[in-house]
Amino acid sequence: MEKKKILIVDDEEDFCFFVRENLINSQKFEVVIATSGKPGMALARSEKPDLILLDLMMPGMGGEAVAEALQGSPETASIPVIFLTALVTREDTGTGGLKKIGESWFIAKPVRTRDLISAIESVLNG
Amino acid sequence: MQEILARKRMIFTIRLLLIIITAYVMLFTPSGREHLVLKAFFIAFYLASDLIVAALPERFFSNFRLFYLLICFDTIVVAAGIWLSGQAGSDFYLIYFLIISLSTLSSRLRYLMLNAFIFAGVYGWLLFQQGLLSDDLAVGYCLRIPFIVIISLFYGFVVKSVRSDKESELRRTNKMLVETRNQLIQKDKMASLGRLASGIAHEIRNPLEIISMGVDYLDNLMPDGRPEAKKAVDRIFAAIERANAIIEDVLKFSRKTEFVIEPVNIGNLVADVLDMAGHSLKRADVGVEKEFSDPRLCAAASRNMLSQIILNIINNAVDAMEKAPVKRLKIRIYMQKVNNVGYKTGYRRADYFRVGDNMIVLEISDTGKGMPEDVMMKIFEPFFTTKQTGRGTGLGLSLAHMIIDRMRGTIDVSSQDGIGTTFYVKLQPAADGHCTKEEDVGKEKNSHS
Repeated sequence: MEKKKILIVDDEEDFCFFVRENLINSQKFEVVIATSGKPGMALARSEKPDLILLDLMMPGMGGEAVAEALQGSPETASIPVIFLTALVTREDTGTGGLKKIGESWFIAKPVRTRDLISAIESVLNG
Repeated sequence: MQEILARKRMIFTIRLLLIIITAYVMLFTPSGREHLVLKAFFIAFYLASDLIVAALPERFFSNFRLFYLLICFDTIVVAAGIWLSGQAGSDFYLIYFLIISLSTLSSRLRYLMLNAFIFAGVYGWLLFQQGLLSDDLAVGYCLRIPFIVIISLFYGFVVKSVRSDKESELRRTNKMLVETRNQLIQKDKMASLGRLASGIAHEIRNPLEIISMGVDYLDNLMPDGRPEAKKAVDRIFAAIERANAIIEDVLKFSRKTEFVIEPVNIGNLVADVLDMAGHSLKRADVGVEKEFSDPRLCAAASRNMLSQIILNIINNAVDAMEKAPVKRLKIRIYMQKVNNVGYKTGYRRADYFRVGDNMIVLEISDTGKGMPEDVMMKIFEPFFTTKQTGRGTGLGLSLAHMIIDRMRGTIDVSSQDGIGTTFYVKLQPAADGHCTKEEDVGKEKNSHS
């Protein structure tokens, strides 16, 4: 089975490291990471990931601005984005931890690897 | 200080009046020429005593024992003045009532009566010594003694009652001031909590996420066949869940976006919440007693928030009744007119329940273990809980306090250790306090949503 490429954009380097390792360990994904908004956009254009995990609150260019810029570019507009946020509750996202609001997907931090993987798969499978 | 100075002036003036009257009676009555030197000495002595009073520092005038000593001194001096003037049989004895009026400045009935008895005794002796108790008018003179005592008693009693009323009013006001101060402190804490909510969520959840992902990473690296390591991983995740539950609670209650004030039929809302809590009430074998004074009472509240708060109070009550011999939950709803200030404090005047306003009161009582006063004082504080570790975040009631505050209402508690606890949620009535038919259907709408 072809591995899906995931781009993680989060200012927490340790978080990026652990998520990358855990996703790679699942044998289902290959992962690229960026620790701020602008390098994240550049990677999105160059790597063409299947899905982007995007931190909502980042210093400098925040997750929302990154998502808008990605949506505005024909090269990246079709890439699904899951926002990672500390500001939603399980009540908002439901027990699965994933919630679609408008065209955006949200997942509440902290999330366990198995839940993150099932959320990614669920978004990728439409 | 101003009050003591005014008191000193009053004492000086009344005594001066006493001296002038006594001097006048001594010098300008038919017997004025007798014992002239002694009378002059007496007047000079009395005047000197008043000058000493004027020179005394103010602090002496706040001590009621010293004050009554002065009254006692005046009583004896005035009695001596009556004797010197030879006017025991005249109406000059009425001058004593000036001393009575002076003594009411300190309104201590016991001391006043002691003084009245001293004067009555001395005056009785004067009457006897001047042979007035054995002539034809003896009855009239004799009656002066009880007259002095009765008038003193009456005067003293009136002043004491006035003082007692003033004192209880002062106590009430003081109590309300203390409550108001406590509520202000509480409100300040709650406001800070609201501001902190999103900050806490972001700053704590990010490291929690790293821990969570890091533990998954280590779990993957660990060789199979290590059940104790798996158990340790599970424990770490349980701890992460506990920390996250606190943040969930804070976020759930502190959202402004969900906060819509609307007319809420309190009776229907309580019925909805009792439906939600039905399973846990049944499992804990708790009986529910409802007493709704009017089924259409309508409060201005946030429906979702208020139902969360009521559910939280009911769940706490169920926990508190876990080992109680009688498990009964009583819910009362009624409208009450605010008849005193102090029901509500706030930074904005508009937040107050004003005297004469109506408020909707929701009373939730349990027959649980109750709580001592020191615990009761803290239950609205964030992170305070008496439950076992892991069973409560200690945020439910503090958040309830914050939410009710935003609805311009109050939440109070009364409790007796070992007997039970009652929560009082006081809310602003919507319009005239009664729901229209459309607003009444809240229960049905809710139950189908």
